[in-house]
Amino acid sequence: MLTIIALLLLFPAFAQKYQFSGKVLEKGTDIPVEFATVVMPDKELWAVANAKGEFVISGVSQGKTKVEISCLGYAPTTFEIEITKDLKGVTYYLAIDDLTLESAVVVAKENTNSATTSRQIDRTALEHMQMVNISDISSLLPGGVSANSGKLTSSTDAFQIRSDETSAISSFGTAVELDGVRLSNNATHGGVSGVSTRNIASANVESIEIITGVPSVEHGDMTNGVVKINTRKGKSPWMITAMTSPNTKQLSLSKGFDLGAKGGVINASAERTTSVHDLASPFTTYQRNAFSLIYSNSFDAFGQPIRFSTGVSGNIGGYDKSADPDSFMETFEKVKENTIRGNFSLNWLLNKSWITNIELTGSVVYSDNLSSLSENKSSSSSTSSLHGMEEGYFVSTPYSSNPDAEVILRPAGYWYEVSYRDDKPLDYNLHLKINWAHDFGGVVNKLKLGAHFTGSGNLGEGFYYEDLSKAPDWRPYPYKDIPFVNNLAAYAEENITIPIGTTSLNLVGGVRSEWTMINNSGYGTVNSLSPRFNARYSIIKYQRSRVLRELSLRGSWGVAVKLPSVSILYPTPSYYGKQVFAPGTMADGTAFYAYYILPRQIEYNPDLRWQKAQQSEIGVEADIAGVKISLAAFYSKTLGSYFTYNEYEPFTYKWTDQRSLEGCLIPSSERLYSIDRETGVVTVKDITGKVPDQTLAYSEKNTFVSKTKVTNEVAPTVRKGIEWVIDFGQISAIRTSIRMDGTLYKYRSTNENIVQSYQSNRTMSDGITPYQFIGHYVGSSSGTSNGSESLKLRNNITFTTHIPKARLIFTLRLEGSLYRHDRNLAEYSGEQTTWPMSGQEKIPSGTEFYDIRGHVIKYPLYYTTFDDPRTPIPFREKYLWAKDNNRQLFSELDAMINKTGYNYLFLKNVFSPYFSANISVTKEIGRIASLSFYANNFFYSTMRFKTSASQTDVSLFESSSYIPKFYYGLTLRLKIQ
Amino acid sequence: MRMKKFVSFLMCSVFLIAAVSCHKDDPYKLYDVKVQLVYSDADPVAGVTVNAVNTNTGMIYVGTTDAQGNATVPAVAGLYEFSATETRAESGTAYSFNGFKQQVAITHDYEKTPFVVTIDMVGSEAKQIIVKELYTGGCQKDDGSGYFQQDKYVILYNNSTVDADLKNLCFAMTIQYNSHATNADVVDGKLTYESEGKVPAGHGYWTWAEGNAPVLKPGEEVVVAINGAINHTLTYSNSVNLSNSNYYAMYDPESGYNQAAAYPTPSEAIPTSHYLKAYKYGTGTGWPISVTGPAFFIFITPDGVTPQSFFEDTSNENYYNNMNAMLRKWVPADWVVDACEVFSAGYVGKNNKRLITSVDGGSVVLTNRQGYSIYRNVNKEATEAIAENKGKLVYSYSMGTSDLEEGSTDPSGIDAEASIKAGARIIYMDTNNSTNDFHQRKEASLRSK
Repeated sequence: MLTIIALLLLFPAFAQKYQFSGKVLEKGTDIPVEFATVVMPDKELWAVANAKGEFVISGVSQGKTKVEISCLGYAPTTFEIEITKDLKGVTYYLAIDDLTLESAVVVAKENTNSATTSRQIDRTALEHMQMVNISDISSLLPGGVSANSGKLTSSTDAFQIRSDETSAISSFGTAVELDGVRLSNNATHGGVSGVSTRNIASANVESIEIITGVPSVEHGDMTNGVVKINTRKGKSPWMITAMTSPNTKQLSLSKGFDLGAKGGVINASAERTTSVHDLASPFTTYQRNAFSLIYSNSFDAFGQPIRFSTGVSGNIGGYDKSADPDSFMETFEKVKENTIRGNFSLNWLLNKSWITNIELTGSVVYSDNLSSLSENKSSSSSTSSLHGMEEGYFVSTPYSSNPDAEVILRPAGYWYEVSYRDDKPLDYNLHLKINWAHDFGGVVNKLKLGAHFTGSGNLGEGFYYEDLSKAPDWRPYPYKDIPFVNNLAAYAEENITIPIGTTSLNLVGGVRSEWTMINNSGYGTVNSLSPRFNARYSIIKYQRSRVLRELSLRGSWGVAVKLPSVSILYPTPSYYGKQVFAPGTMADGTAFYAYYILPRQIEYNPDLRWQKAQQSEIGVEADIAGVKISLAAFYSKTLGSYFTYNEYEPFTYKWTDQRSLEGCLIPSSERLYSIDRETGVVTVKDITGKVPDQTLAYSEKNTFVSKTKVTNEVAPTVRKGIEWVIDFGQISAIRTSIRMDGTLYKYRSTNENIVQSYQSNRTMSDGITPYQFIGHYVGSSSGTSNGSESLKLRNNITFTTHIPKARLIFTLRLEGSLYRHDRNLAEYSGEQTTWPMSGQEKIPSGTEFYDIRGHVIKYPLYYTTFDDPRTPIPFREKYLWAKDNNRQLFSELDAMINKTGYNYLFLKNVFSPYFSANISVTKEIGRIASLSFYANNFFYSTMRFKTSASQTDVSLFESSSYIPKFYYGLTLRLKIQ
Repeated sequence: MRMKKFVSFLMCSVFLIAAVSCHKDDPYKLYDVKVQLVYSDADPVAGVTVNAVNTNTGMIYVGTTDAQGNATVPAVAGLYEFSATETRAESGTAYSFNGFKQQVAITHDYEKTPFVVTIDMVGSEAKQIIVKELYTGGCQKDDGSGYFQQDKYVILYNNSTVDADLKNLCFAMTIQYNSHATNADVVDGKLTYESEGKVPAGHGYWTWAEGNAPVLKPGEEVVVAINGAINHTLTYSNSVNLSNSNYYAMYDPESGYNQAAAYPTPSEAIPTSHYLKAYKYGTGTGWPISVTGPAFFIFITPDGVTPQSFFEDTSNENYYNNMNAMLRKWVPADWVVDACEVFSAGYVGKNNKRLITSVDGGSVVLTNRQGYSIYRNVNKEATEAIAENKGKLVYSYSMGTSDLEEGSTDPSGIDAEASIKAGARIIYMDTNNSTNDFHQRKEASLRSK
């Protein structure tokens, strides 16, 4: 490898350099297109057209190369040129991007240049589908399902790429970038799930690129694809958009101001979106007021051009339910979601022999999310709130006597609990990328080196109550006390395109190394390595005259690593509380309960590995007599998914109740209770001092306390499938093109980790001794299955009728689920723990439980007792022995057996096919306005489909889990010069 | 001439219209529905009232039997629930016969194709201990924010002339918990275990602490708090004060019923010997007696069986609808001392019985959250027959409720609580049929003590 690099470095000195210059004009009017960007992607060279439309790219080496010219508001154009000498004075024309263009596309376009599966969705397609929430675009991916309801009031809309499961883990791994700014969900404590896209402005998005295959090593901290959102940059007229749909309304305004000669461009945009959750009670309204200001310019430094842009964007939003007249007075729920993002990017075209291009980007994202909730409460007897953070026995104390008491006594009566969650995540990053592009003898070679520094943390107070005297169980846990997590990555990628006769082979190989600095935690600084490799072999370049017009093959392989979220690295401490003293209630409703508190936290696991996804993919792209076919087969294996579980340890406490107080000589109103912090023995004092102190009798209770641990899942999760997109081209007589896309997707996952479970509110057969056994189960302690598999076959057909002269485009999209089956699994590589049962007894009646219609039981693998927690006792053996020999043990062990609730849990559940249809129309009115209308599920389908396991019909009417809900929207766009 | 033609034309059209309309079915037409009461080991008797309740309109149509047990009930077309009840005394023991048949459809074809509605009458004895009052519906909070239901209680009463020893008496309720819930045990309008002589005790049951079972003299009662045995009226003025030292409390946190909101420690005034013991086999930390429509019953284990041994015996276990969380134990109907089947108001026609006919042949309707309780009806004849009651009985009972369509009150008109205060000894109705035996009382009786 090193010798090749050395050789490549020597070659450039001998190559001839030429100049490529020309003019870019608007088609039809010959107006110069200022700010048009002319790019030679293979050489990493670029130039920006000036006010006269002129551009100059110097230092171009000889040979054939691709040129791309693009500008905001115009359709990009790509062509090939051959440089043998200086090429000057050529004029290129750009057509205005509107529906008069024959090439207008309203679906996701495959990125044919990419060696991995990647798609681009441009402005025309985004406007046609009237995207409100960025995550809506997943419907344009092969086999995608249209977005559900157009409501922004659900905060769980996140991306799901190449997965359908409701598991939040798969969306957590998808990276979302907005203008190069990575939106991270690592620093919020809401839990492990993908970043919510609802607070990202949707009206001024210019294009979105989705990489579902193996992405470049430039992208780290993801295991399931990358979504890159690009907002409008460049000179543009006033664009006003108004959108209305049953639940959501949007108004936006944007313009790209030309600051004159060499002044650059400022793009300013503002958007207001309101979304109501329930039309009948419009008080839960999510509001998004987004703004963005981007300044971009290009100038020369040391004779070489620099493209520079800096911007600020943000959002002020949230919702407020306090005005709802149906809520009880003074109760409310308010959520505030404010974000501000600052970013800059610099792209310096040095064009030297040892370096072509330097890119430097940086960003800072700060959010202020404050949610508050006020609830009305009451009780007829006093309640105890646990606030203590240290281990020990504590008795309830009124707040007025000691506000810092570990257990606070809340008297009987009525009160309000007002709570706040102050969440202020802060993310920053700085990214330096160096490109070196050279071609020699037709072989294009691009080397990319980069360094990326990111950090995330939180400045919020966390969850707290306004009035501690009225708060329930609570401990402070300020998010700002958790140290920032910083990450430094370095990567190198080599991209070579080798022409082999009439074919060409593109090879991309890269490696990324990451160091994550986790302060104040046992994890310290951790390193991970992700190699990625892509190859693309273009066998036949496009030739219209042949039947097989184009053919290329591609393959990829890569490893991507996902860092754990803050909730695992810095876990929230949790506290075990057990009532240990229960004196009788006094006449005014007061009872001085005492509790035992034990602080616990997710234990540090020195053997915790980072979750990895191994992905591989092969694909074929072909054009057969005008029919474009794109096929990709992918396989993804996620290893070591993060998994939290409980472990139990024996614990004994002292229980004292009113029985010990019955003979007490001290009258109730003159008593002061105290409890020994270590021993738990209760003493009653006489406040008048007349009667001596009395120590109360107690009984000892043997039980278990749990502690949470985190580990990696032993068994991998496998996702594999095939995606296809077949574009049949246009039937010119009816101006309609037909496109079919679909996916065959298979998912399988089982959990073979051994987990523990304790029946904490159960007794032994004497009705009084706490339960003494811990069950050790495979995968899950509840239910009878420990995994699932599913197979889905989806196919969508889109009919697009495009009449350029009428500036009209109409699409009818039929979404179909052709086959689907789900199945619950119960698998373990050791012995069998799940069995079929018959009758009432929980005894195995055979060995096969799949494919039978009957009830199934799951035994723990083994169990341990309080007296001997180290000795595992094989469960099934003991249970079957106890049936005939020890009926008392038999009834006590019975509690640990799980049983199915219905008799078809392990049957393959096959869904019969179901369909839905959407329509969309966009009509431009002259050059200044355009109107779009869409209706999802416009048949308002009442179709029913069958599920084979439960043998029931499921109705699609008003169901939101299978087909999109019936929904429609109308958008008006005005373009004013 | 023209006038004549016009008039005859008019008369013809009137006849035509009348002829055509005659064929239209009259919704108010009464059909004489034939009913026969069938007794398995007794003779039919005349004068038994047969009720037919129209499940859509709630209207009741009645008929009376002849000596062969046949009755005719004139009713309009609709869907009905037929029921009949009668009490007779034989050799010093009172026997009640109850029967009902649900989902009987009387259509407009009844006259052409008549059929006989047969009702199987099941007999049962009247016992010593009865449920005098069951209060589970809860009341309204003072600030108008909603309802409070953690003040439930039940009162047991000695309805006989001899002392009653409550040893081994257990308090239980069925699964399905709620009367209005879909009930998988009801198939074709009948309970699957109807003829098996057993009732299910769900989730857990309570009994007296070892050696602390009370003994009730005739006319004595015992109050058992199902939730907090404290004075709830300090915070909720519409609630009850359960902190009396004579009351008992279902309080046993060591059994697993330890939910703090449902089980505050009983008042200091109540001795710990009054704490009941629980045997819990369901999941969860509170005994889930329904706040809308429970099926509550009390049973006494026979010689050789104790509440403890009943708990350890796994052969009496069964899962409602095969659901893991719905474990229940079968209690033989012979063990059941008394029961109360409560239906939920607002679900007329949709409530399902959970107790078999021999245990409870009817139902009483509860509108919850208003502070109403289910209170026993006074047996007018038996109470007036007691010589010592002369002059102590208070009539003009005004504690009935009128929220239900027909109203609900004690048909005897005797104000039991006022009469007891005056020194009378009340005998309550016990026909093992909640329709006859209970009414919905405007206020829990403990509020006026």
